[in-house]
Order: sequence, then C-alpha cells, then structure tokens
Amino acid sequence: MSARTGSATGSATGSATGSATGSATGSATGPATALPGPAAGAALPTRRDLVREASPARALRGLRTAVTDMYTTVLEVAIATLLLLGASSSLRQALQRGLAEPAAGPGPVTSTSAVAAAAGLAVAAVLLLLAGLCRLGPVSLPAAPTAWWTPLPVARGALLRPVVRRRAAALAAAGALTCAWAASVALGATGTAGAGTVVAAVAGAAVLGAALAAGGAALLLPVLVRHPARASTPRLLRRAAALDAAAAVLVVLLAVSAAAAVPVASVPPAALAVPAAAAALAALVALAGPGRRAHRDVAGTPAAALRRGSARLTRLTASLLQLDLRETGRALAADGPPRVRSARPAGRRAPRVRGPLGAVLTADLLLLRRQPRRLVTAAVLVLVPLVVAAATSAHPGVVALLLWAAGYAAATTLSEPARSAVLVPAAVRALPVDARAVVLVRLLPVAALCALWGALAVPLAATTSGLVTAGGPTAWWAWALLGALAGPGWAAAALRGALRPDPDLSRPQVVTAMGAVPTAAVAAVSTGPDLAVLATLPLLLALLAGGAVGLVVEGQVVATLAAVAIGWGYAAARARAREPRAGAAA
Amino acid sequence: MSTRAPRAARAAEASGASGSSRASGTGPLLSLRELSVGWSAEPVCAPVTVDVAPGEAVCLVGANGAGKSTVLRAVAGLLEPLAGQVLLQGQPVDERSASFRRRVACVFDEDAWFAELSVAEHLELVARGHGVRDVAAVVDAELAAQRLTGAADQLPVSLSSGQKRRLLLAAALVRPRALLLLDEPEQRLDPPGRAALLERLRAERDAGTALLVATHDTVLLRGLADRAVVVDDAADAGDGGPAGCRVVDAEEAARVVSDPVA
Repeated sequence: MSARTGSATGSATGSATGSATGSATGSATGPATALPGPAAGAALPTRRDLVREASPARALRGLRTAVTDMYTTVLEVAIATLLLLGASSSLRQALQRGLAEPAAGPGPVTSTSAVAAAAGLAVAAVLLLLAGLCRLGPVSLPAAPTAWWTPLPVARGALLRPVVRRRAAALAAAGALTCAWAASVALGATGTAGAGTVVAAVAGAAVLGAALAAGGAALLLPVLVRHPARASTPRLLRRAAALDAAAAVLVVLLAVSAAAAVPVASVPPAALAVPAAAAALAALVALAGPGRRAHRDVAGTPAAALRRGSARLTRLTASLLQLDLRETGRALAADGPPRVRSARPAGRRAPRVRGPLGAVLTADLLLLRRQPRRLVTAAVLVLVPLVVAAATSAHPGVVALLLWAAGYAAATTLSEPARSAVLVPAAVRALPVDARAVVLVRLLPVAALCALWGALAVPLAATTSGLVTAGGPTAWWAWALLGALAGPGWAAAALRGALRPDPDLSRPQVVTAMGAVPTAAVAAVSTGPDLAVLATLPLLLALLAGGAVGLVVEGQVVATLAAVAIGWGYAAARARAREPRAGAAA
Repeated sequence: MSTRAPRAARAAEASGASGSSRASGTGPLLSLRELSVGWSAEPVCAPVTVDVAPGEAVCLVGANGAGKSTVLRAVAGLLEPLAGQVLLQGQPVDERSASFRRRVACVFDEDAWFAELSVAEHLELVARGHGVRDVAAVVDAELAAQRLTGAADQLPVSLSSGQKRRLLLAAALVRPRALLLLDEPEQRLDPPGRAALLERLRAERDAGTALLVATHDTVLLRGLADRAVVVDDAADAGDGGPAGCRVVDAEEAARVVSDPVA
C-alpha cells in the first residue's frame, strides 16, 4: 500500500472530524494525536490506491466472461424490445378496432382525446418514477461500496458524481421511453396521422419525458445534498407524496375530461409541442442551475443519507431479482424515519371494542385510516380503465385486462394490514383468537371495499367502452352488480398473495430458448394473481363477449365463493403454519 | 422458599376454572417431556424434561448458542420439536388455538405490535381483546410501571431498544395469563429496569403465574428461580445414563451462568 500521501497526524485529524470531504491528502495538518491499533503511524491510502487494490479482482473475470456477459445483455434487451413492440402492435390494433366501432349507447361518459390521455398517463408515469427516486434517495450506492467507502476519510465526490450522472441518464431514458411508447400507441391507434407526424410526435414525446425526468431529478438532488440526513429524508418523502398526488390529479383530470365528453380528435399531436418545448426548456434551466450546483457539491452528501439509500436500494434490488413484487412494494412504501408522534391526539383512547376479533378488526381499520394513500390509490385505480376506454373506445379485451389488473392492484393496496401482519406475526399471537378466524376477519373489510370498487369501476369502464347500449344485453346496473360480486374475489386473491411464502430460490430453474426461468420466483409471483383470474373469470368473459349473458351473474357468485373459500383456506393454512424444524439457537 | 405454601394456595385460587395447580393435585401447568429441538434433524441441545407448576419460576440457563431460545420457541408452539412433548395442562400445545393464546403470554426478541398504533393504543387493544375490565386504568398503571407514560402516544418503531423491550413486557403483563414465557427479558434494560423487572416477575410468580424464563442474569436467576434447567450441548450430556439437560437449583444455575464452560 502506498505511503505517498498523508501521515499519522493527518489520519487522526481526518478520522476525528469525520469530514465527508476530507481526504488523506488534505488532512496533513492539526495536532499530533497517537492512534491506537495496527494502523497507527501508517499513512492513509488514497482512493487511487484502494481502487488499484480492487482492480485485479475485476480483471480476473477474463475476456470470455466479459463477452458472455455482453452477449447475454444484448440478447435480453433485444428480446425485451421485441416483446414490447409485439405488445404495442397488439394494443394498437385493439385500440384501432375500438375506434372503428365507437360507443353508441347512453352513459355517463363517452369519450376523450386519445392524445391527451396518452400524454397525461405517460406524464403521470414519469411523476411516479420521480417519486420512486425520492424514496430511494437521489444518490445512493449499493451496500458494499457504502459500507466500504463511507467510513473512509476520502473525498466522496469522485465516487458519487458518476452515480448522479448515471442515475439522471437512466431516468431520462426511462421517461423518454415511457412517453414515446405512449405516443406511438395513441397516434398509431388513431390511424389518421401521417408517418411524419407520428415520428415528430414520438420524438417530441421522448423529449418531453426525458426533460421531465432529468429536470425533476436535478431539482430533487439539492434536497439531499444541502440538508442533514435527518432533515433531507422527510423533505424527500414530502416531495414523493406531492409527486404521487400530482399523478393522481392528472388521472382525475383525464377522467373529468371524459365525463365532459371531450371529442376524441379534439387535441391534435401538435398541440403538445408547446408544452413539450416549455418542459424541455425548464429542464435545461434546472439542469444548468440547481442540478449543476448539486452535482458539484454532491461530495457533501451525509453518510447517513447514503446508508439509508443504500439499504432501500439493496432491498429493492433483491426484491426485483427474486421477482418478489410484494417486497418491492414494501421497499418503496417504507416511510423512512419513524414519526415520533402518532396521529392520535394525546390522551385519546383506542376505540372501544369487544373481544379479540374486534381488536384485530380495529387495528386493521386504524392502519388504513392512518395510511390514506391506500384509499386514494384505490380510488385513482377506479379511473384508469375508464380513462383508457374513454380515450380510445378500447377493445373489450384491453378493458378487461385493465380492469383485472387495476382491481387486483386496488385489492393489494387495501390488504396492507394482512401484508404488514406477515412481518409482525407476534402481534396477533398476543390475542386469544384462532389463526383461522383472524384471516377471515382480515378479509371482510377488504372484501367490502373491493365490492364497492368493482361496483364503481366496472360499469364506468363498460359504459365508456360501448358495452352499455340502448338495445344491448346488459344494463349499467348489471355491470355494477357483476363488479360488486367480483370484489370479494379480488380481496381473497390479494389475501392469498399477501400470505404467500417467500420464493425458495434453491429450486431448479427451467431452461428455455429465452433463458432460464426461475420456477420458484414465478410460482411466488403468480400466487395471488392466479386466484384473481379464477375469481373474475365470469366478469372477464362477459366483457369479452360484449355483454353479460345467461347465467353469468350466477357464475360470478360461484366463482367469488370459490375464490373466497380458496383464499381463506390458503391464508388460514399459512397463518397456522409453524416454523420448520429449524431455528436460531439461543 | 418461605413463600411456597401461600404461593401455591394463591395459585390454586388463581387458576380457578383452568383447574391446573400443583396445590390442587392435578399436575403441573407446563410439562416438557424429553423435548428435543434443533436444526433439521440435528438437536442443538440434550432433551429437556421439566415441569412448571402454577406459582413456580423455572429458568433456562446456558452459554450463547446452547439452545435456550430454541427450547423456548418450541414450548411456545412456534417451532416443531424434533422429538418429545410439550404439554399444557396435560394437552399438547397448539399455539394457533385461541385457548393457548388466552393462557400463555410470550416475550421474545422480536417486534410484536400492530402497525400504525401508538404504544397506548396497542396495549389497550390487547387488553380489550382479552376482555380486561377498566382497560384505561390497567393500561395507565402498566405504562407507569414500565416507565412508558411519556411515550404512550409514540409509535413503537420510534422507541429506543430498551423502551421496546419494556413495551413487549407491558403487552404480556397487561392481559390475563397463566404462563409467562420470557426470552432473556433483562436484555437492553437499564439497571433500574432490571431491578423493577425482578420485582415484577416475583410478584407474578407469587400471584400464581407459572414462569419459564431464559436468562443470563444471575441476579434475576437467584431472585426468581425455584429451579433451573442447564441447557447443554447434547454431546456433552451423555455420561452413560440417558442424555438430558440437568435440572439444578438457582445457586448451581448461577454458577453455570458465571462460568458456562466449567
């Protein structure tokens, strides 16, 4: 290890101050202090020294490994692109069919602009992306570099600036792709725009998405850099909540435009040119001003903030690698530093309840009341199928898929009490109640909320899709009934998903032409959605058939009862499962 | 042990409908019969055989990694034993049943509170769930006893580790119980907290509650335990006779804790 720079005195000063910017070379002044330990008297290594030590390990990978890695990456990206293009093509064709046969029947809503809806939904997606960045921390490192670098008295600027640049570039790319994809689908579906218009609109959308994402990141970075960790975290979380709210407002506005029956072709693609240019200009200003200054000062990022971001990033990465979307949600939804005070006014008591089941029910309802974002999310999800259907008179297949996914997502977010109980099973064990009864009590309020969700979302989407016609087979109230009946099935599926075990990654993979498929992870991801398919099968068939026919209501009752029985049975078995014959020794 | 006779009498009175009492002659409240626990098929310690009567405190002692917590988790029904039996009033334990949860309170080294509820709200709901009358007074008294009154409106996640431990103890003590299972309850408590814990557990024992406590604290051991089980490695336990963890008195257990390798 080189002893070119620094000294024992310098290391003592650097360690004592804990300065984020103090480097070995810059800490050669100050009072002489003897350090105990094996490194006493030795010069501190520079960053260059440390990197040189680590580099042979990288070199050991060899050319063959590098080529294999590159080949695999290129192949995976190509396959993903082809899948996306294929899905886009199918979606466009479905939307084109919908537009060719516009809704003819009466209904509370009829249509809205496809261009406005595509732009609004894409911008909402970018806003949610930025909210995710806030929760991760605009700058963070993986666990190993964080644990290794942050305690060292070396400058962090050279380490963090590339991270800032890479993350901003990745965000810009993601924003550009999202908006460009939405524009291509919306414009392709209309079939009226010329090729030049489509290319220009897609390019404009890409610029808009990139500008929003990169500009947003430039505005968020100073929050982390300029404040101590204990102050920056709540600020970032408040911004994340504001971005979530902005995305929700966009969806609501689009739904309002549908309710006002804005004509489909009322917003030409060119109308978005000015907003896109303004956004790009604002992004440039943000990048050149606050972004550039924060990039310069990023070395001052507190170690605590880096560690927090590192923990969140590690959790998120691990959940994605394991395809554990339940854990992904937890990683992004975690609220950072705990609130010192609860929402409860001092001196007020918990609601008066009788019996252990009442206690469980009360605890669950209090959780939902104190996390209102879950109710807001479910409410916004009511509107998403409606907006898409209203914007495009979409093909029933698209609406069915959207409704199914939105219903399961709403049930999942409303099932947070069951999901959090998986992490803290001992809370319920303190109450004198059978484990099977607990899961049933947990299911009831979610089932009721999901029934309400289905009674609203299904008729709205069906009406705007042209499935409710004057002489059609199904009235809006029949769709509402079907949605309400399907609701408890969604809830049972979400409960099944909440209590599923973690994937056993030691199980063998299945080799396919598209690469190895981790069976355990796939099985874990599909536990929950599988029951949602069963529970909503009659509803989905009715949507695809263009109307409820014959025994579909009775079929929905049977499907829901079966789903509730399966979901309850599964959850009860999981709740009663004991630890295997293994445990941490004392 | 001068309190033995009156304690047993109080235990008989306290057990009431449950009908379990050493004094009543119906047998112990908790019985461990050749209980073997461990990893997969490998036991971590010798089999444990011991009875705990109402109004009696039995401690589990042993070195780190000896298997005390593993034994305790098996007794609590959270871990499937390799062999042997855990009987509560003569019946195999089923942690998942309401009757077991009504009679047994556990404190392990894990979070055990409802999300988004404050300290006081959690205790109130636990007490109400067990049908406690005058919940407000009971909870306030327990908060004061655990020195948590000032933290009553805080969320548990915002408490210090010592406060969290006191909340777990409070949740176990704010409700009716016939058996207390405690895994190193003294951990993370300050000296006044440890002294208060000892007094509180002695009061519990004297009131007729059966206690099974894993501990490294010699003061707690000497002040509380009627007997103790030395949880040992199975390989060290065999000396020609049937292998099994030794049951010793509190003084001998304290010597083991002070010098586990002797």
